[in-house]
Amino acid sequence: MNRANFIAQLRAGLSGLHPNDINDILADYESHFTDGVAAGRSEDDVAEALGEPARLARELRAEVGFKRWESDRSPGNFFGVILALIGLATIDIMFLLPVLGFMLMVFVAIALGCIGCVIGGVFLLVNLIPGGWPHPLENTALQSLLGVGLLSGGIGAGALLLMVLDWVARALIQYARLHFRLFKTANESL
Amino acid sequence: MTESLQIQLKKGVLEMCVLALLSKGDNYAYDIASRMAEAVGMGEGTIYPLMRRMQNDGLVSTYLQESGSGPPRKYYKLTKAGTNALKAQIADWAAFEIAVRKILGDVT
Repeated sequence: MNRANFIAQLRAGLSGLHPNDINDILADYESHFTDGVAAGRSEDDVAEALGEPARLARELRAEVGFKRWESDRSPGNFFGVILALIGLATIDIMFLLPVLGFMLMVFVAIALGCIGCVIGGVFLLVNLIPGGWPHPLENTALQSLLGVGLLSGGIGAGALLLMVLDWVARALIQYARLHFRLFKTANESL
Repeated sequence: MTESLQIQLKKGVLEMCVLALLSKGDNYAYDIASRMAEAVGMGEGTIYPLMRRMQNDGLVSTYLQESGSGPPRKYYKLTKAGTNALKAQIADWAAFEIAVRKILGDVT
């Protein structure tokens, strides 16, 4: 494989990342080729020593996803981490796949439960505003208590869920890094 | 078995070796990779994800410097955190080595 081929495959494997990240990564490998050729090696030689570009791309992608989650813990970035882990898991550690799927389902279920509690609580409270709607409960005090309870319970459980989510994501990232930081591509020679 | 032990051992000390190389002076990835490939047989492609992670962890920082030929080169430099991490890892390594040597001493 020559330089152009290697770079093209790497670029294809990285597609979907931020263009800045892609350019950054490609620049590293471009200069590696430049230095290698300057040292008297052939492009094929350098490419072979670097390893399979598709695999490198997968690992670099995961690292970029992890970094993004660490600097900004948004739900979108969490799904990025999950996707990156699934990408690694499908090839490298199959047993993680069902575990990740199950966890994702549990999280979504709990999150929906929290949202349900909040909506229910808000409904019960809004319902108390005089306006002629029939109250579901006879006792106004009980209904407001129940509403506040549901609302704060939902928010509290949601916050707890986010904390657990953060913890789980960190643990998974740690695990993935331990297993991938030295990358299996290198194992044949390492 | 021996082969896999070697792989695991090298994996464990790769970061420490790169930190140690950088503690002797700033360097660029190609040179780090070829030194590591020569010394411990590390795959060259391994260096870039590793450097990226070490940069994310704040152990190294980068700067660009003009090179004699071609575009400017990206140099890696140890940060304060990197220097501290190196110290801690060397201490761990020394303690581990002594412990293993003690046990092996009883056998051989």
